[in-house]
Amino acid sequence: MTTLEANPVTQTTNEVLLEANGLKKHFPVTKGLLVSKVTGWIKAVDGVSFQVRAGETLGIVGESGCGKSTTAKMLLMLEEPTEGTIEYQGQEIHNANAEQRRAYRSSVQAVFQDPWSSLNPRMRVRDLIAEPMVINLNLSRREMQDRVGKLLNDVGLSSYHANLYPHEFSGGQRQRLAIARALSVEPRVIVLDEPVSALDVSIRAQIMNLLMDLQNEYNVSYLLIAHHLATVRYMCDWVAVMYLGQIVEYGRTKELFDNASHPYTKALMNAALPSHPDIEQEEMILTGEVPSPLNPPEGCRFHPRCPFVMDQCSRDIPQVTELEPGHIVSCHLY
Amino acid sequence: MAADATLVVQQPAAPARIARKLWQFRRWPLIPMFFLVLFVFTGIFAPLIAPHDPERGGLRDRNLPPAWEAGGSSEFLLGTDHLGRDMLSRVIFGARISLAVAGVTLGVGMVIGVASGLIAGWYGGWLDEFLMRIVDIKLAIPTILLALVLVLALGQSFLIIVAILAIAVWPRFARNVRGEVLQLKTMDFVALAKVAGASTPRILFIHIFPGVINTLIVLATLEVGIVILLESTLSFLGAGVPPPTPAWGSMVSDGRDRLAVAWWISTMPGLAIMLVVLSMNLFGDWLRDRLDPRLRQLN
Amino acid sequence: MTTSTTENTSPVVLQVDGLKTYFETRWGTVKAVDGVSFNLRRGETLGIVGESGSGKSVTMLSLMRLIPEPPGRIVDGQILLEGQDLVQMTDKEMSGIRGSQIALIIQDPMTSLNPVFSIGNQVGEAIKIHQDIPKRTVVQQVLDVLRKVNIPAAETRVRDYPHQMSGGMRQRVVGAIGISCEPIVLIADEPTTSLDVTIQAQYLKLLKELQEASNIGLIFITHDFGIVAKMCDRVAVMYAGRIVEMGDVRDIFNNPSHPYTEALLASVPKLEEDVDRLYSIEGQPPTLHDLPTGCPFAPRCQYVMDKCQTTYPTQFDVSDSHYAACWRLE
Repeated sequence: MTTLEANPVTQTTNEVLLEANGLKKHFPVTKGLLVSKVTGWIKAVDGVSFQVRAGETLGIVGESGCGKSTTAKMLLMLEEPTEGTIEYQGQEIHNANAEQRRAYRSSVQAVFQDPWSSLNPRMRVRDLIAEPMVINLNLSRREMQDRVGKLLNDVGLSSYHANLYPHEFSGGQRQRLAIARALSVEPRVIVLDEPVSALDVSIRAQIMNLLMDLQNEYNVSYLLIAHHLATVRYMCDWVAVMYLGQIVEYGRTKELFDNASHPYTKALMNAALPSHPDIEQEEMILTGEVPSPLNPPEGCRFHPRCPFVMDQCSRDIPQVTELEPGHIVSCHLY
Repeated sequence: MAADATLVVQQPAAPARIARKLWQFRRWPLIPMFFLVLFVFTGIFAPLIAPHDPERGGLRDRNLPPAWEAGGSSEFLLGTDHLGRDMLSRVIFGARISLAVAGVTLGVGMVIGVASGLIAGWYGGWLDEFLMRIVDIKLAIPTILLALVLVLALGQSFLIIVAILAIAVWPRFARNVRGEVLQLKTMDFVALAKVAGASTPRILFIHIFPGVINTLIVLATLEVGIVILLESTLSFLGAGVPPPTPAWGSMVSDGRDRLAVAWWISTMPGLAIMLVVLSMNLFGDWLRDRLDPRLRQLN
Repeated sequence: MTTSTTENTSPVVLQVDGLKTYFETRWGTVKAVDGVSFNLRRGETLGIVGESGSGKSVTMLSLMRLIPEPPGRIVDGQILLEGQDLVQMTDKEMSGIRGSQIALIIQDPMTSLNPVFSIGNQVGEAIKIHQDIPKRTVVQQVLDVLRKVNIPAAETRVRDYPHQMSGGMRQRVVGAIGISCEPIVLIADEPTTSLDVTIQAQYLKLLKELQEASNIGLIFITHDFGIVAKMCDRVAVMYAGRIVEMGDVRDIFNNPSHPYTEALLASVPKLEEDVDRLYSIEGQPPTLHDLPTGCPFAPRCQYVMDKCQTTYPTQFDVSDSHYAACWRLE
């Protein structure tokens, strides 16, 4: 901690709320109908560690198949980790007793990408938003109604919307409803899985700003899953870059964007679309596609596509190096 | 005064409103619905409507033709059968049997089918395999054959008929419900319900089941026709509801040997079967177009 | 790169004049495209930017004459492809032109390829429809075009079926079909939305190379100003069925003159710099069957004036190559 305090960039020492340690998720590949045999393992997530701090946002970026959504599912207890631990306020949750797991569930909520799939079309807004409260809290009808009204106001809608059905709302409004629902039990952490990428461009800023306002108001932490780097830069305090189930670079947003060190991070930034036609981009277009997580490459998993590949990259798994306090990278270049 | 004012405002609009109301019905299958309402109504109120006792006749009045034929009597509008029983009353009471059998069978079959479909779809794995193989086996055995064997082995009664028909009906419900559940359980709102800590029964009943109701309604309307036909077939083969209870199928069977002399004995209940089943199918098709979300997207 | 857009003096290949495409729905007439005019030169890339309901996709479908009729209809306007008016053509004449002179790459590589035919078959089909050539030559041309879109080991991959390829590869095949008959105009409708960032970069580079190699006029239909910044020479911004601003790409980015363009640009987070707070456009994109009189952006506009509520703004020139439809420029 002393090193962190010494560094002006990482002054804030908010408590760690949620911590993942060596998290792995391997899915079996089976063959055979009645008597199935495991023929291999898809290593969707293969040893990731990170912290979500109180009131801050951690972004996980990566391309499809990098394991970011599976990581989110493990945090939401929708998947059991194969290995590794998730600790919430110092308490390991997958081996915790029922009461602790219950408490965890109401402390960690989620908003998903597709606002058409994430709201049950047969429930009224009132019941949709209240559902987490009905399950987790012991409130009277009156209190419940008041809170639904307040939540609707907080996300920029009105209390009369409570009687409508989801199909009566536009995409952006539905995402507001989803956010209100997630906030209803006053969670400490919300997992945001691509919360704006299904929305119209002119609506995205509304939702991002709303999320950031609510973060201050409710003092909630976010874990943002995204593929759009600029969104991550705008919303996050910390960023983890994932490739084939592993975190290749991790650090404070500003530090990471100013001093991107892993070749994959650099490639992602160069591949991202510029915000102005005069911005010159380095020609660093990766060749090939992401290999299958069924047979990830030996050594460094990025080496078949890496422009700076060296001999040892195909042999040895790179060690985690701390470049600056809090900024870590796993690459043989460092 | 205020009430008057609103009246004055509303009155000119009333014909337009009625016209709009009627216009909404333009695509409703009015003829099938008329027959179905008639069917249900006569089924329920059979004892009040029927002019005669359906199970008692006089041998003096046997094989009387319908009222509009030569020799017909206005006392027996649809004529009488070979035992002198009033055909109209028998058809009316036959509706009652068909209605009862169809209702109870569908109820039982639906409960079994929905329960197994929900379980198979939700839990998957060996439970799913097991239930779906039973469905496959059931669908591979000819229903009539199975029914005849069961009736021979267990005897003939209303309960046994209902049980047999329920066995015939539930697999289709199970399979359709399972398909819907497989699709619904991948929806994000189900995952979010889990994130909120919802229990499995809560998810099944609050999030999944309402999503299959439309399919159930459509399927039920289409199955009613099948059940009525099956019941009639069984009665025709003498394995249905035991006589002298007037079932449409056994009535057709009664008239089979007398077609040359008294065509109406077979024809009247046959027409009733056809009308009800056809109406039910037309109505079911219409409902499916209205309720099935996949079809609705096409429009 | 520092020169403001190299003046493109190549001949105009596509000229669209006052295009109107309406749809009859049960809520009334939807004016999906309501008087759109632009032109495209050889070797030029034009970006058409808009959100859902802006009319950009209907414009694209109109250019291809793929509007489902009914309910849709091109009510008015001209689409001149090298002088011949596509609007006046019979369906038969049009199908000879579609694919060979004006081609389309659509966004979903899963649905634009038929799963039961090999990719060689599908690319070959596109070639055979428009050219009467012997089978052997077709095979050769298929391989050529697959190599052009950088499909590795084209000789073996021609026998692959779409499901055996990755998303990026499938999108390349769709591209190959698009360019197989060497069209004059190629329309790309959000061709990279389903692709990952690094694959998208590869694909955009490929499109640019193909365009330069055969001097195609390229139209990019997109909602993403990033693609515009990277790929386009000129931009048309659409809102509620009309072009609200059009100009050279640098004019648009440096001097956005329609409040909608300005707001959109300000609402997109930037990769290169920290932004404290994004500008957020209030309200929703309009529903086309219920447009306000006057400027359709007025309800969301931060500069709205009385006049905006009543009259649709005429086009005002900002510079020779740049105009916007906004009363503020009057």
